[in-house]
Amino acid sequence: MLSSVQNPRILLLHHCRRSKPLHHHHRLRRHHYPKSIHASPLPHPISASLPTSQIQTIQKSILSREKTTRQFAEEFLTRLRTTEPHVKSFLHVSETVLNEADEIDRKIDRNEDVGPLAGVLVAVKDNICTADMPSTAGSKILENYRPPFDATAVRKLKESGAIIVGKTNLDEFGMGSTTEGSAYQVTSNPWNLECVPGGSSGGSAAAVSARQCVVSLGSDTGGSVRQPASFCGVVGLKPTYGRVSRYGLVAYASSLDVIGCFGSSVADAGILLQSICGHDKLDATSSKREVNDFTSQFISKDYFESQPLKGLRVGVISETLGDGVNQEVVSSIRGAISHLEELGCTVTEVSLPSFSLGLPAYYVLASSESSSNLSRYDGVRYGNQTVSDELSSLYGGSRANGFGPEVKRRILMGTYALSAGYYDAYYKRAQQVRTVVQKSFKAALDLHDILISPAAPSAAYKIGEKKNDPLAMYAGDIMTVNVNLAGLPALVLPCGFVKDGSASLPVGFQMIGAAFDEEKLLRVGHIFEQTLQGYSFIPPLIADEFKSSSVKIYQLG
Amino acid sequence: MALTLFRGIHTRPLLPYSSAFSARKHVIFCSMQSTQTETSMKTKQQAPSNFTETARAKAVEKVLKDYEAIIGIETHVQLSTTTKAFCGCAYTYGSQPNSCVCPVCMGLPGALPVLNSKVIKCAVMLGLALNCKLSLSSKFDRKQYFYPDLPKGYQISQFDIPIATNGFIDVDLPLEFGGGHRRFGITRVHMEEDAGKLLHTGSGPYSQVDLNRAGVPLLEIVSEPDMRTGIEAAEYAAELQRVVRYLGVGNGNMQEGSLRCDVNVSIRPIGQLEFGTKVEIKNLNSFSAMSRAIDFEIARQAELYNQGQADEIVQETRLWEEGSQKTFTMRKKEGLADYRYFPEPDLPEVVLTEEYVNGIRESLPELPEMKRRRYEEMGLTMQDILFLANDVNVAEFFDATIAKVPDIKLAANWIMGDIAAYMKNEKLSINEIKLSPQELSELITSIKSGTISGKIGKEILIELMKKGGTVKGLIEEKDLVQIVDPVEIEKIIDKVIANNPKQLEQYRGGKTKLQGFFAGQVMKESKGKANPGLVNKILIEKLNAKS
Amino acid sequence: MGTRALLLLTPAFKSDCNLLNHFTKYGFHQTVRQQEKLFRVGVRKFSVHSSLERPNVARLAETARISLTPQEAEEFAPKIQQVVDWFGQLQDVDLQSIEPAIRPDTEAGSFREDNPEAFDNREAIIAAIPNYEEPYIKVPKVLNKD
Repeated sequence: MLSSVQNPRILLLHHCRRSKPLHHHHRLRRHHYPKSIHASPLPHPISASLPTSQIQTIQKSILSREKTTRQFAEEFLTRLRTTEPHVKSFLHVSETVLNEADEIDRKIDRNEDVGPLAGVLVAVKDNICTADMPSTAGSKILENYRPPFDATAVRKLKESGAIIVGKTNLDEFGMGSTTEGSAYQVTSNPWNLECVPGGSSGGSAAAVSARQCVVSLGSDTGGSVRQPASFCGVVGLKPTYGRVSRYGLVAYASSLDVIGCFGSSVADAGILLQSICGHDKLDATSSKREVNDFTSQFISKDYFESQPLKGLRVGVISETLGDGVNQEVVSSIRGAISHLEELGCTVTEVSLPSFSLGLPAYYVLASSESSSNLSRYDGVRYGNQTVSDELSSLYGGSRANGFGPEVKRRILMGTYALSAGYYDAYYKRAQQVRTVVQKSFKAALDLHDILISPAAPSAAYKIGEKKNDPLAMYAGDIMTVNVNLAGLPALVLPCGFVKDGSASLPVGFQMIGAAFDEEKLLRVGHIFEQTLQGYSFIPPLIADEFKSSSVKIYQLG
Repeated sequence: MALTLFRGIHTRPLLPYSSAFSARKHVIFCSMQSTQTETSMKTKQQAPSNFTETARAKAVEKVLKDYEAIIGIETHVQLSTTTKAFCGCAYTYGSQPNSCVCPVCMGLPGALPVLNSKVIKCAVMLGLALNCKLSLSSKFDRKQYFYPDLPKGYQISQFDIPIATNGFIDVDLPLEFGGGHRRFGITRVHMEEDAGKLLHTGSGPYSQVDLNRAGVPLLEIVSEPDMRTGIEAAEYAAELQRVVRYLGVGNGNMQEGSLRCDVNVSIRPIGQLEFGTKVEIKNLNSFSAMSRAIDFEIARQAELYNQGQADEIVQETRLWEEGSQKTFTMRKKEGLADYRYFPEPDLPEVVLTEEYVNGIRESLPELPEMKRRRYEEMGLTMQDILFLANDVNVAEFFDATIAKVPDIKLAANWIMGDIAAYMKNEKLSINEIKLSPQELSELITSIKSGTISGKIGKEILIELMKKGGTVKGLIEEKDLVQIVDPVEIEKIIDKVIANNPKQLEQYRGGKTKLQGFFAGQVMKESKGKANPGLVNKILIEKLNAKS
Repeated sequence: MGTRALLLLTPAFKSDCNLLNHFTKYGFHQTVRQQEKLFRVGVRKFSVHSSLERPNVARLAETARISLTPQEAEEFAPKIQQVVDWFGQLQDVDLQSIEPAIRPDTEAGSFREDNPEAFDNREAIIAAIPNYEEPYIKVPKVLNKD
């Protein structure tokens, strides 16, 4: 039985500029959705707290002066300091966070505009250029390198008032799925410190998961935002290729790279995306398409209609739930599917026969393009130079000492695939597979609004488990790479758990949309998330802090 | 003595070489072709004596009786756009090293190229001017190799789908080399970026890199291997330079490096279908160096053939050394370099609409070939044509002059004669002399109408070139109007005769040559203004009159 | 969650179709169509890609300007071979008449005007150069273009 709903009232975030306190009485309205049959039991005996938009919360608080920016900043920094020795998400933490917070408070006092992300602590993956902090791309070859410019996405963040709290750890140059490929440190999964956070944006995912920051930027070339989002139980959003400028993103594979967003709720990931997307004249591949406002649909669930997703056609990719996918992952996905059906979706299976071929095609393209993109790292104009009095050795030594083994291997494979005589056999064929993948997704999306799959074939595995087995590691990308080949947007949000001894590890499901249709993905994701009963995706590492009901940050209001 | 022949591709040369080299009468022509500093540099570098030149010419002539030379040229034209190809850096030749740089052209992490639309325009202009077929959709590719002057470790270029293909260029060979019309095929024109500069400091273990030039747009033009002699090759290159300058897409300056030519030379015994091994020659700084280098190479290869050592001709790159007038091995090519080309993912396809192309086609200026044909129709001789049309500025001057006065031949003569001589002496280009085409046409009109004499005209000319001013002004200022009134002239003649009785007696005594003396005195008396024709007529009457 | 690596598809085993299906536990299934193709073609002892030369790690490292130690080269070779063999699947698919895609659909025609825009932080670029002697970047003496 569904209780009635009032007229929807849209919480307009970026219109909330003035200090008038908003007198809402938000009570958790109990909508009685039938529980999903295959759901895993709750991992922690805390009251199920629904993910809310931290950004909305912070904005409201600071603008109403209920709380200062500095107070929020201090909370996060304290948590960061406490958890960082365990998680190790950050390669660099900003020293000016509190100063920036104070400046925002001053502006608010002066009734000046402060921007839609004012007061929000954002972490940035270390392969995205920031002029005032080192940008190493997780590699020794760029140790201490300071770019002379900000990436366009970073510039936009700053213009929105965000506080950049630091640079996060990653697999070197984005090559890897565990963050173990970093030349500097291994990041741990906040859910189980002996497990990987996923990769390559493991640091950004872990930072949000451990609530060391509000939201973070990552990059996704073959799943590097979506898979860690799944492993760390956070929301990961991969936009359409060309939606967000790549200027300032250290290139890995130019035709596949995008900058993506992490948040603890769909709304936060969406609000973050809104602030960084749009055409950039410094990126010739960035789209000129107008960007709609997709944040106005992050309304409170109190205002959802019954069956809010009625009419939505969902296609489950049949190749992704078969042999080789962890059974508990499959049941979590099936649970998500049930939930979607409860919300009114029509769910059918759709087959994409070329699905498995996308993986080798992806690796051919990624290795080839990266072998070219990494040619510029020769120690001559920036970065670590291995001194030599002979040019070949200068190049050879700088690169040998500066690159880790996975990067070296990929460069060699890419060099091979592009060599004369091999181009047709590998690179060209991979490009052709790309066309096939693009066409098959387009055909499927003509018949469905969104497509569903797991974000990864398993939950997080132990640190060290796959480090020496490249193909095993590559195999884990099967769920995500095709989306990059097709350039489509995708959203990953947590939907269940997998047992890990006495504890649990989160599992996320992936929703894939048509090109430039982030709006729809976010709407569906938000509704799904806000109506998902019985789950809390707060990792045990910090769960204590959120046990008490006095923590206002996690309540609506 | 121009032979106007249309020459197809792959036929044997029909013109003899021999007379060409010994006569260096072409100096003015060459200087018109290359303008500015190139002339002086070239004449300085022409160290070899005429003897060596003739010897070589004869040697090559002999060779070409038994062998056919197959010559192809790769030309890089630096575009004179304000900014670089893929970033907003403004490039000026001669800037302080490493001052015109930014993250994009420096190859910094995270930087991305964005194409300068002017580069496309220049490429289309040149493609159309070279009668090419344009690719309405072309793409960029990465050409990969490591070198310190190549910041990204790859050059953005066009590999398999260039913007223009299958064109041709028409040239008229200089008369002193036999003249003649040729058509050479153009295989392709494509867009790419330039690398920086690598300087070798002689001694010392370091080289120095200047990345100002990295990212400057280039057009690469590849010719069909249609040239058969050094002269043809040099004229091809000169014509390319002319077209580039006419279009205004670049300044085509070989010394500055804004026009670079690499030549491929091979020979084969006449009658053989198979091509010989081709050798690349680099480091050519002038058209004449190109011509000499090719001749040297032809002779060198023929020598090896003659000695049965044809297999010692290997595919390699050789450098032309101006001092010794020889080519030297730079490096042997161990197989072709593998550049691992693949399509540039950071740049979308370049799509041209018919509208765009037609717009450019309609706005193209009159090209050298068209100009030459137009001058031909006007009745000018090939000698005149080559002189006037080879330099876009001279052609403009000429066209402007004859727009006002229809006396084509006169205008041509003035420009080719007195004006050219002055320019050569003073080392000025036609844009630098103070004479304007309007004033030249005024001068011609004044002489034709009899207002001033030809001699006065020449004097005024110098003044006009040196200091400017107007013909009318000078005539007035210096009172130069020609005296055409017979009465006036008679008066002067009478005066002169009266003042020179002795010479009169001698004349009447039989020394008729003294007429010249009297004429000279009359001119002196009249300050050169007396009309020479009238003077002579009246003078003879007076001198021959009794008493 | 221990896994076996994707099977080393060495040429000798290529003809055994069972093994073709035997990827990891994650089971990346070849499609039926691909299986049929192999049957149709007959049992090929060696797939197309085995006629291509195997990756010569030392030569590739030289081309890519990475000075590998002998141990590294030895260590990498089998791993690289493994992955390259796995790439070989691409040869087994019928891709005739399919246009290669360079990137996802991008609107063509994103250009700049020819207007100068000086970069405002040149000093930082210069400051990052490891070996700089005003006004040049220094490199060891270069003799020939390789």
